[in-house]
Amino acid sequence: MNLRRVWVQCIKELVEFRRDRLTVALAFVLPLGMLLIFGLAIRLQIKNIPVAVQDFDRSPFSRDFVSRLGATGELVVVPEPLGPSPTAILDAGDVRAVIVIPPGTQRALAAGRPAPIQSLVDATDVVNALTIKQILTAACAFAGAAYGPPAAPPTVVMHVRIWFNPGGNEALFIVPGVYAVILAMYPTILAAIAMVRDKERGTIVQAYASRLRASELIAGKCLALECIGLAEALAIMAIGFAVWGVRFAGDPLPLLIGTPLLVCCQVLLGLFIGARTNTVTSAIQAAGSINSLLSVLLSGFMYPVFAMPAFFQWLSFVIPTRHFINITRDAFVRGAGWPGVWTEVLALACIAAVLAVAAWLPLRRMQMTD
Amino acid sequence: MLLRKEFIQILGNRQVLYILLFPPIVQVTILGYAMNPLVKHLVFAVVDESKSPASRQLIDAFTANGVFIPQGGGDTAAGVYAAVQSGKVDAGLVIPADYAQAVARGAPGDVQLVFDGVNSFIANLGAGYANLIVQAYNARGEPAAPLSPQITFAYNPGLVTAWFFVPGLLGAILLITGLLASASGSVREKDEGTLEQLLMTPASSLEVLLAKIGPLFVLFLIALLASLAVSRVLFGLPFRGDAFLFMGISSIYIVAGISIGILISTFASTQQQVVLISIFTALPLMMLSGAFAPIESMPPFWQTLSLINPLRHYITIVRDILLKGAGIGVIWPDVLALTAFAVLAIWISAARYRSQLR
Repeated sequence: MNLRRVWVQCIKELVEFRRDRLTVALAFVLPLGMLLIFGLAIRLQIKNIPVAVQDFDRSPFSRDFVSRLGATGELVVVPEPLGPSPTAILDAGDVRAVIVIPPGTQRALAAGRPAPIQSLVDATDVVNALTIKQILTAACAFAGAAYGPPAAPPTVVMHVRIWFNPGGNEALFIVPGVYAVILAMYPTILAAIAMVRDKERGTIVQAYASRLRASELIAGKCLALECIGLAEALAIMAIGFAVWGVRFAGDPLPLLIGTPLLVCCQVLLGLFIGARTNTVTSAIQAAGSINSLLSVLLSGFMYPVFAMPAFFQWLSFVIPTRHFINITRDAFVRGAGWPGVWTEVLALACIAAVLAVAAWLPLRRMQMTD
Repeated sequence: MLLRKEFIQILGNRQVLYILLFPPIVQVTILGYAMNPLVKHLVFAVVDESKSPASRQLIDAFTANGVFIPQGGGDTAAGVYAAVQSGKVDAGLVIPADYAQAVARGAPGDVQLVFDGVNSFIANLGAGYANLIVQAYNARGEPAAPLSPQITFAYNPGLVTAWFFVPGLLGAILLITGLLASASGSVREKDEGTLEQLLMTPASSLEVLLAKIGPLFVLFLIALLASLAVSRVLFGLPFRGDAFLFMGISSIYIVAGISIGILISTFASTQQQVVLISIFTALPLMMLSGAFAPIESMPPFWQTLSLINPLRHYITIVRDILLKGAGIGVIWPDVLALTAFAVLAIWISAARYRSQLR
């Protein structure tokens, strides 16, 4: 490999990028905009779910019970007229559950007779449904002890402590994940376009005709896009610090090594896609939709990988974002450093190596395909 | 005539055809299986310093239903803390040495559960489960508490998560692929200079646009039906509502998606720009639609903003029709919003289409 030719290819790529002012602006403004929207708007924590209560009992107990339901902020209680049937209320779609407190519940409780609280829960959203169930169960246990016969003292008292993010600040969970998603998306697309555009315009023939080797072509393009990707990484991490105060929790070295590796993986993936497709449209489809959906959804950005079926857990091992997300979350939230994440850094390096070969194979002859 | 040109252009390129038809089906399959927000298989380390029948009983209660999977642990609390610290396990349960004595005395035995809060969502759900487990453990052997909730799960009694995600995924995938395909397809006319020829024909901008929408529309309708069939077979996704109503509304939605793409293409001049803008538009639309997390949980400002998101309305409609069997009487506000959106998008892009030659 001739380093000078690599360098020239890299400069050519950067010049081409810089000449397109709008693309330069987009390549930096879009990630920042995305970071802001994701960081400010995405909330997985369930909050303010509307539930309707039909209170037929109208007793101190029922009022206490209803205020208990809304106490955690997860549910918002909407008083409902007693006329319509629960099914009709749920079908109208304005609330996620209908809770019915039958008449005489307080008296039944005081006498120690069973007093069921009926509820119809919209299970379309399963997480919602289970959360509502948890809150109902807890409220019943609480109100039952207050208004019913005294319960026996508990055998076990559990003290739950949540580490690293005791306030449950969701930005701390979301923002480091968004870093990974953004870096999975934009460098890949830019790389795919950089590769396939030459083909579509026919200028790749000149590269084929020159003494440039496939490895040099790839290395040059990769170097140029690596610079762009790292600049993007720097920009979004600076914003993350400025807006949400996301800062290093421990040893920053794994992140400093992991970030260039991830960008390298994504750029090589983009070059590979560009090398395998013939038109910008199809390269974009592949790089944009498939890659971004998979790296958003199979990386553990939103839902934990360990909750997926075994096959997908295996599949997720080849997705670079999955490893990088563990690195960013460790660097910014947990702070364990190398012992926790050395495997992830290693995995990224392996994926990069495989992708480099994959991108090189279709180009190795440096010939037109028929 | 124009319609035929567009059909030939799309069908002529095998690769594009593949890339438009395959991803929706494959993605619905993969993600329907993979998206699982329920807490299962939480790996937790246990240290049982008490080493008594009482403490083993408590551990059994934790591991009985498969939510908590015990792994390692070791002999000291410090070892468990270190495992949580390094992220090797999601939680650690510490049962102190005096646990059995305390229980034997009739005093409550204190145990400690430490959660890795990096994923605060999971930590909270997991803590909720743990509390339920301890509550049930404390209540064993007691007569049933008089006050008990009787819960009926409507629409999705089996609590299948795929039923929740597939409508969202369908909408999101249709939007993203539709947007990208139409945007990059029509900006290519500009790139290759064929736009001038198109605009010189006697056809009006609206006719040119409708011809552009035609073939993509047919393709996406096929992709939608195929994905629905796949999710029916794999996940048993029900179809409780009116099929004609569903197809009608889906058509409006697909047209809306394609027209946003064309609208984007009138702002951009190169393929690169068009893609960057499309992705930037599509992702927030997807994330702020209620496809993955309930709209009610978002900050109020974003909830209001999401009212102009066609995907939000489409997902509501799909869930209502498929799962609840709702008719037009319930979903009309969403249908109205969606239609307004589609008309507006076509109208603006038709107005801009001719003016992009400068």
